[in-house]
Amino acid sequence: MLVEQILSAVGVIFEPYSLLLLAAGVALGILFGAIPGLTATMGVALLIPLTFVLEPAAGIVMLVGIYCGGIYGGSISAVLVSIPGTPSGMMTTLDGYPMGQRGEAGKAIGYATISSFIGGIISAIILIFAAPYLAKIALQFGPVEYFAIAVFGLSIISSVSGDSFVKGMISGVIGMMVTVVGMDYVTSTPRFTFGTVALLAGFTFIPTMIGLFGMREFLLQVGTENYKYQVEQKVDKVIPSLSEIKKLMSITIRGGLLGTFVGALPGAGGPIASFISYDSARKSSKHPEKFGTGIPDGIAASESANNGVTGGALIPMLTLGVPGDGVTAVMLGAFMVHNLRPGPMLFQNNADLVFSIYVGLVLANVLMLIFGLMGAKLFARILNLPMEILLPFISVLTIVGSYAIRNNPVDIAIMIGFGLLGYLMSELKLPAIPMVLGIVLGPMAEANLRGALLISKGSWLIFLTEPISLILLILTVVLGAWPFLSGALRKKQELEGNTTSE
Amino acid sequence: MNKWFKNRDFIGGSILLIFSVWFYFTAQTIPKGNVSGMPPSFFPSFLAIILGILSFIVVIKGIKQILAGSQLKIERKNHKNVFLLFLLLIAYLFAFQYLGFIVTTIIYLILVMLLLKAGKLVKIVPISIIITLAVYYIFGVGFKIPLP
Repeated sequence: MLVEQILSAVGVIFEPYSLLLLAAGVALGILFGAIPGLTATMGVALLIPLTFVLEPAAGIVMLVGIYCGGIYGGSISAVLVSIPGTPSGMMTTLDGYPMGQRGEAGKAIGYATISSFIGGIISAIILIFAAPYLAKIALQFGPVEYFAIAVFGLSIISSVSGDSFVKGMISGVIGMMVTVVGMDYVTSTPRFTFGTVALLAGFTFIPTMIGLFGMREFLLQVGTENYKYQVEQKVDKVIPSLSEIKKLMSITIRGGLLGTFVGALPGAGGPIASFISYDSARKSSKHPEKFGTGIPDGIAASESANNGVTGGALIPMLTLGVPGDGVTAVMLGAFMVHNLRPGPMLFQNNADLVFSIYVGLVLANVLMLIFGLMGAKLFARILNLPMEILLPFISVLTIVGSYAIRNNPVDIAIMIGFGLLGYLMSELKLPAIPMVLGIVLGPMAEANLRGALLISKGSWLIFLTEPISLILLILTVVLGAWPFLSGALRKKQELEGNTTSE
Repeated sequence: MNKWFKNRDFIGGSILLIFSVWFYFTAQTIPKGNVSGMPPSFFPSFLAIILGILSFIVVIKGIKQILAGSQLKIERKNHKNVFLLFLLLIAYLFAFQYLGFIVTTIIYLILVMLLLKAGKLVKIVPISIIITLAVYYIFGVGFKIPLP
């Protein structure tokens, strides 16, 4: 059964047209990932409008390609200019850049490519085996569980993005408030539209995303003016030897598994996965002091984990409709465009699409490996493109992209508005990603909260009496209280340290 | 008094607090409709209360910072350029409905590149024209998106 379905999906993906789109997606993804200031999330947001004119499977698989390529691409600029091209590549700079400085930039990129590939493949395999089971379990979830998952997802993303849990939550709640605007789905009562007809349908999802990831980033880049860098290293001898790869195998496999697990948690994504993997590789290493001086182990730990996130993040996104990270949150837009609703029913009604995504993810990783090893030199040269020209070009894409969905200038206004809002929020250190998750989870949270309270006749206790939701809410509270707890613990230790030293 | 206005947590938190109060009271004016269960105003009010609590915490944090004499570290940005860009985008939004995509985009790109000091006009003008035509043909013709 499984084999048959996979084979038929292989047939769909290996059509020349789909294959070309996927290859283009991976290449574009690497570009977006590699150029600092353009992220994987931005790449997906800008290209979602195109999936509108494509077949659902072909379009979504192309986005998967951008996702994989984008997360990997971040390592190229991490090695060459010590700026992670995408937030997930942050830990790669620690060892990648020193290695590049020693004249081994090619080798560093080679290690990054191979470990990204292995991490990605591990996560794809876990996705293929875990998703159907989770989907079956999810079939039994009711409104109580779904509301608890939404709250849990929002709290995870708030605790990992930005420097304060409270500010992350604020950003998430503002995101949910955005989704309230428009007609109420039960009573069709207009809410927060203030008589504006254009707002009756609410803020359209895709222009909002393009605003928060394309326009906001454009304004931030222009505002900070820190896009002047120069690549000086030579990139050669990219392909590492088999014995070198073997040495890194255990770190890479562990990174891939860790990445998949972190990715599968709703909300937590690449940056946190690569951090945990790097940290655990250093702690279990025989020579932890060498980490940070430019050793392959550090690159392998970081890159295998952040590409491991890709398959992991797709698990909750496909089975529950709750994205595993920022990129998959935006990707949900492509499902909406085609009136597809991710969740357990997707596995029953659109099984062929799900299998195309599986096969697409595996193939995207293979293409990423080939492009990375063959084209590293070329991608390195692209880093020297002048940002003064690239940024205006991106801004035109944000305009065209948001217009393309409904051919309505209002969408451009929404896009610009959310770009400016994101920029102003960054001035208060309010992160953008929780807001995106808030926008995605808002309608789900509202419908299920209302549903749950309808069942319980208005009693909030229902969230504490159902076991799954109780566990999720306890975890949420722990996440929220963690900074205070760990702060208190540190103070206690400091005090104890003082008394013993006296 | 100046240090109170310079503290972003204090100011930002206060703005959010006022916003949540406004959001709460606006939510109360939403007609109830006839449903059994939670009215349409329920979820917005719920969110407004949560936002109110969270922004109150941020205000307290800001006050603590002020009393301790510390500041939130924020990268300095060139707000003037961002503001000019915003104006340009608004102008684009109106202009492109009358002048059409190609003309507006070329003018917009030239102005933005001048703002970002991308180089001399001899270089900027041809680049702007090439980008515009490329986008027009890829999206408008290739993907059949009707650009005005």
